[in-house]
Amino acid sequence: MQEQITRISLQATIDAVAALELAITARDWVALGCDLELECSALERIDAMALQVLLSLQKELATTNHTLRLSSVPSEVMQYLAYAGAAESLLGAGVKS
Amino acid sequence: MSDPEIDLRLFQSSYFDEADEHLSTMEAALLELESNPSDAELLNTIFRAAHSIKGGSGMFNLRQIQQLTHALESLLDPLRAGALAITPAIANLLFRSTDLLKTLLQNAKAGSSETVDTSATLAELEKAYRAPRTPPAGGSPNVASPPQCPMKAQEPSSALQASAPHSQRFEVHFAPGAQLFESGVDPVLVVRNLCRLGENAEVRLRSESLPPLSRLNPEACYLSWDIRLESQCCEAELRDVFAFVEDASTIEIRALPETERAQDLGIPAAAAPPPVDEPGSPPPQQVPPPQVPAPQAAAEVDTHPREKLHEAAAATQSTLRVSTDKLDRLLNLVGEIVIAQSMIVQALDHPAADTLERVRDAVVDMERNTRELQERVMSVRLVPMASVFNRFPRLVRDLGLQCHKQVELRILGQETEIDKGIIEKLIDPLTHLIRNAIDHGIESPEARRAAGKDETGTLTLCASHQGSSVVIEVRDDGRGLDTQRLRERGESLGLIQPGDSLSDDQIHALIFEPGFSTAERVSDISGRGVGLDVVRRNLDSANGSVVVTTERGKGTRILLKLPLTMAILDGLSLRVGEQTFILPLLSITESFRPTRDQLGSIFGRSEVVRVRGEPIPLLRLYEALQVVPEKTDPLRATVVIVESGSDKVGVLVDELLGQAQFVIKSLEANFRKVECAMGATILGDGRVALILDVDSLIRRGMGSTHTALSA
Repeated sequence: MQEQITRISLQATIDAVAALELAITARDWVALGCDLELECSALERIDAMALQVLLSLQKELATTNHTLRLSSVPSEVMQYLAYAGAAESLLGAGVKS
Repeated sequence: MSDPEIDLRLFQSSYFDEADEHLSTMEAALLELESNPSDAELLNTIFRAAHSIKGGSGMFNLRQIQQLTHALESLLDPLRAGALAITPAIANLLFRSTDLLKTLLQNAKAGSSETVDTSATLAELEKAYRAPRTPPAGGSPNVASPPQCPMKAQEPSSALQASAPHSQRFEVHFAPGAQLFESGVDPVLVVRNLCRLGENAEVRLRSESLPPLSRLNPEACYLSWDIRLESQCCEAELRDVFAFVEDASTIEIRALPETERAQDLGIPAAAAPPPVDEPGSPPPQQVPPPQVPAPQAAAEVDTHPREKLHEAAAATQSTLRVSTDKLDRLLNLVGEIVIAQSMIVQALDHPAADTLERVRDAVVDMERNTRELQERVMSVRLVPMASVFNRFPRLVRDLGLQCHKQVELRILGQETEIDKGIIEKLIDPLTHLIRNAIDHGIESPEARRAAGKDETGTLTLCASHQGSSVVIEVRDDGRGLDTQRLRERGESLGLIQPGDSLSDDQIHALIFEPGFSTAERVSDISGRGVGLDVVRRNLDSANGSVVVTTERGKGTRILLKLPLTMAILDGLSLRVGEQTFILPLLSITESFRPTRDQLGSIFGRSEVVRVRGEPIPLLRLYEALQVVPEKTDPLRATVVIVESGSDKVGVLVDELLGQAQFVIKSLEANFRKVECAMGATILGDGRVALILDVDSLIRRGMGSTHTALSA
């Protein structure tokens, strides 16, 4: 049976304020009970708070054997993830427990 | 904006402001150090200032500034420890380094791409650092505290890496405190700045402390990093990257031994420990080289070219630091005004017997709060004169040395506050006045001795408040102005005509005319006739005035008078025909309706009004401004006497309307320059009124009198 993937688009800037909203919204995504793909082509910038929420979401999903990955990541965000040391885990298949 | 660097740019403006303050501190301490070379605290002060500048430069990737401050620190360390002695040569080197630092900071602030060659100064600093050491007092062989990054004899100075690179492998552990996000600092950008100091960076994100989403507090920082990189920087330089976060973070930096370095580089090393891998942690990631800009040599921040202009404009914006207490008080006042406004709206929406009374009470409240708000906003813009005066001890020192003159600078009233916008207009005039005073005013020690004076001349800068004006005095005890020579020079330049009847003050004021100089020699300090005209120009643009008094052989005193602020003016409104004009209250000495015996003329041409026997030129405002008056007969009109310095003129107007405060609007910015007007204001009924420029009125009035006298 094929694994269900839900695609969600991240847009504009996700910094301190938006990261708090993201943390709340992401709990609903966990409840979907499926793998998540965050489409980032319209994402302009994230900061460490947002990055932390994404990694935490990834960890949460891993407890139910689901994955999180980012796709279509713009180069500037990609560069940020590289400096953060998070590019591989968020752009790859994610962490499966 | 999609660039994460936007956050850093917000801090950059503060960094440059702080760097300016640190530079001033360094310069003041250096000046004092010349008189007190044994004062260790002064060296500590200089070191702390240099270190603070260096800290921020690392954050913003200002490599030249970082290198220079680092080299300065390296030299200051043995000086602090007493292992090196302060000599005049070292003091001069420290001064020159401070100057170079100032240039680098100015370029970086302006976003200039101009490359400044720092190699000679860096080489001098290193040479001074390597000079033979003297054992420190007390005989201890190793009293010197370890330098932050010593210029080791066996390896090239880190400050001179450009000429002799030598890289080393480092391992850095960076664990931000949980509260780091509260400070607004993004730890990933700190990691990025670290990576930019080297190459082959490997970043390992440590997220084992990060809880699953259901237990996450998004405002707490759970992440930490282990970074390995090769860098030509020393440990202290790497540590500087963490200057803004070190108090709230755990930072460990260690240089890797060759064995571990070999392992990093993929060379088998049996003795090397296995890499630490923790479950759940992403593997170390090589930061992609194309995305990691190499450290730049020029003093600029690497940003996208199209953003450079924006960045430069933002960086050069004038800024003020305001205490939160002051801002809170302003906010409270705004709140009070909003409440009063609501009361008015409510009273008018629900008319009742006491509506008028309620509205009147609210308006009174609003008026009181508005006035207080205005005063407090004005006070926010006021900064002490010390911010200008503090730059002159260095100038006086350098000019004294250059001219072989002994000059003592006395500064009085540096706590006097003045509008920041006006302060910025004062710097150039004061600089030129000081240059002239030292170059032409104060005599050589020999000449002073021959004249029976102390060999050391005195230059005094004094600021004080007079009403709503600030008066700044530049006084020297030199040879004074030669009035006869000034007159002859003025005549030869065609500025005045032979036989013109001029007061001494008017002749002395010629020194502020463009191109005017009586100097027999042209030095690189002054004498080209370029410079003092900036005094009048800047003062005119700030609605100020300048008065020169001098006594041959005794000295010269120049008084600059400026309004406290350029935003609001205390003025007298008056009417000519249907037009309303404003005269600055400060310039008005009296007003009256003249009697027949007070009126007269000179040679039947120029009108004068006699005030207590003194003939004062009479200027019919309707003629000067070409408006239709209601009254042309002075016996029915009103004369307002205005003065600037020692000059006066009587202005003939139809009637006086009243005294009030007026908001000054720039005519040049909104319309065009208008003769005899320094600006405009909007009256309560919405009409525009010109604010009259007293100096222009006086020049016009006096001009007609001079013409009459020389006719």
